[in-house]
Amino acid sequence: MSQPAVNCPNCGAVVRFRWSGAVQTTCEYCRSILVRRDLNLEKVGEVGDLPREVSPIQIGTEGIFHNKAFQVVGRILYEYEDGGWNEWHIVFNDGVSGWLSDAQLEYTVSFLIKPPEVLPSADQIARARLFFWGGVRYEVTSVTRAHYRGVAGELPFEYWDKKDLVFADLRTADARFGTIDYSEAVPLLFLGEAVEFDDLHLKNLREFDVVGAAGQMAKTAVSGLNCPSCGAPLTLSAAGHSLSVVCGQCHSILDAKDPNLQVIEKFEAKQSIKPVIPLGSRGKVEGTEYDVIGFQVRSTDADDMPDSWDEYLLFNRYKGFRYLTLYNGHWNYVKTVPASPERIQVGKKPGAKLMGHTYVLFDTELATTTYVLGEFPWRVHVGEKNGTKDFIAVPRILSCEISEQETVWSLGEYMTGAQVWQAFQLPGQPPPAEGIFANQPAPFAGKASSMWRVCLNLLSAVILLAIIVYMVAGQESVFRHQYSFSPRSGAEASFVTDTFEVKGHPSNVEIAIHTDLRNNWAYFGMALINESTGQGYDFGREVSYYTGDDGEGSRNDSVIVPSVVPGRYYLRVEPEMDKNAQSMVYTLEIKRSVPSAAFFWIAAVLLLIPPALTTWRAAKFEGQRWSQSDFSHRDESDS
Amino acid sequence: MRHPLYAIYGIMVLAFASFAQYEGWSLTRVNEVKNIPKTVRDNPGAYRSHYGGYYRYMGGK
Repeated sequence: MSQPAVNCPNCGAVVRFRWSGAVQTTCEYCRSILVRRDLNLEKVGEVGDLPREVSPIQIGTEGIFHNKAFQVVGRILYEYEDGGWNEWHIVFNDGVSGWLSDAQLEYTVSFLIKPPEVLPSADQIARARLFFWGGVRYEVTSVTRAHYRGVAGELPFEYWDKKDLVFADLRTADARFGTIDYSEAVPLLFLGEAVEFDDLHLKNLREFDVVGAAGQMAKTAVSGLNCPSCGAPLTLSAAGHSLSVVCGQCHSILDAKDPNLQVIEKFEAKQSIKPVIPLGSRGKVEGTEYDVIGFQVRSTDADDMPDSWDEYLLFNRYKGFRYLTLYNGHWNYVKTVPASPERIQVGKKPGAKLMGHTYVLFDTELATTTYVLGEFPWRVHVGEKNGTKDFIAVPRILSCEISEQETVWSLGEYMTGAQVWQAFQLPGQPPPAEGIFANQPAPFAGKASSMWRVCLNLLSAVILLAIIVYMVAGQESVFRHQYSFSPRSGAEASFVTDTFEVKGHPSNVEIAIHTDLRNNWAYFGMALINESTGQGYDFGREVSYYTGDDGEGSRNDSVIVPSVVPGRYYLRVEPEMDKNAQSMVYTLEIKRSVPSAAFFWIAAVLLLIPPALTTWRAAKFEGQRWSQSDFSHRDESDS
Repeated sequence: MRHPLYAIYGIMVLAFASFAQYEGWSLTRVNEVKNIPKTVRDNPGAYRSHYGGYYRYMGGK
């Protein structure tokens, strides 16, 4: 970047240009606003007094965006009724110029582009209007009427005397960002994206009254004041950002922008509420230090059941505002999202899509602010009502707050009380969690699916084992003989077979019976007897076979005698039939070491029990979770 | 392995199934009888089976 230098036409001081394309700059010494006219500079005005600097960015700050280095060379400061924001003019190493916006420490980078279509005029633009550019859905999330407050440094155009202006901010579901700027006769379109402070890798930042990197603030950046109503001491930790501060003694809500802290209103509190995290506490969440600067209680009376939750406002002077919410011992760490989630349908339920994640609507409430304490970057008001919608994708919760002025989306992630206590180094124990919260992680949810995968592997092992056993099993036939039996003969039915050798290690023996029965039955009382020891295995088998439309039974049957030790054996057989039945021919076959499928089935069932139990517990947990939602069975039956 | 306890349990179940196969276990109800006299070979009718000696109607048509 070349740095040509010229002399200020007002005071003669050297004015250096960081960017050769600058049209306007300011003299650092006499604060003249200078505009280039050919080779000369012309003074067109003077920079007025700017408000207290609260942005960590300053002219000269360097950073990286999409792997390209940039430097901050200029600034426009805007103000509107509820605050202000900076548009920092940034110039990249390749000479490209863009804008780094800092609105209450939420950052976006955008570039001037040629609009893909004719943009609507300022009186036609309104919230919720949609644009589709390059296949991306942009939604107008706010229309702000602001006024010029001041300029500094180098700008790509003349900009110093403009008054009231209209800006329309656009968001997408994937944190892209746009602004329609009505400061010119033809609206200008800037497109870019929201960025996290850390992702910009900023250096040469403004040093406040503290020294330290972002997230490592010293404990001195506060303003000490007194309540004009009762004289109680007040603390302003986010001076310059806060719009309201509430006196904990007399419950006066004060205008934090007013140097005299004018009383806006007083609210009646039945009793003073002591936050479980004291205001002024400092804690480290996700690697960043935050101060607890505000506390509010909000309530609903859905289904005539009054319910309330606490919200803690956290502040870091580089990364801005975050929230901790507490309901029945369940915590969420929440940040506003610079996006407009796409509304979708998830099965039968409404949903929202944000940054690739799908969220399902959980409940819709009307929240009323019932108690406030500390400071806030908005104008708090006890009794203020906002419509809220909560969408969940466990462990995240996406909340939408709708007021007359704006729609604010925020994203929360579940935290346990123990995590909060550790983060803020709080004494004692956190309030115990009661019931199941909307986005509380299910203790078995992830386990069930991974357990089923392990189960699948084990079941595959069972099948493989069964194949191997059936392949290598001996199934040696040790005896086979055909017999006949006639019940009408009246002769002794029982007999013994020839002896046969059963070899090998103790294993089973299968005795199979094959008959020629037809519409008849037979019973075989049998004993497998060891010839030398006299040990026997006594059992009976019924065989019946009937034909016809409702035929049943089988001509064959078998029995497995377990754990038979090797030796010489014989069978004692006593067939029995109806006394008037025809004679029967049957074959007895005896096999050694016959595989049994029963134990493989038992193994399979035993393997299925743990994942099935885990799935059941997860389903039960989900049932309890959703019983608190708009989609509980109770609500469905009511409707 | 994400579920070591379940994996150990699964391996034990597989070992149980393998052992049951090797030992030739069976779910069939079989009475073990000790000291059956050798005379059974000569006089099979004298042996009283645990399952014998009573009439069974088999549901025939």
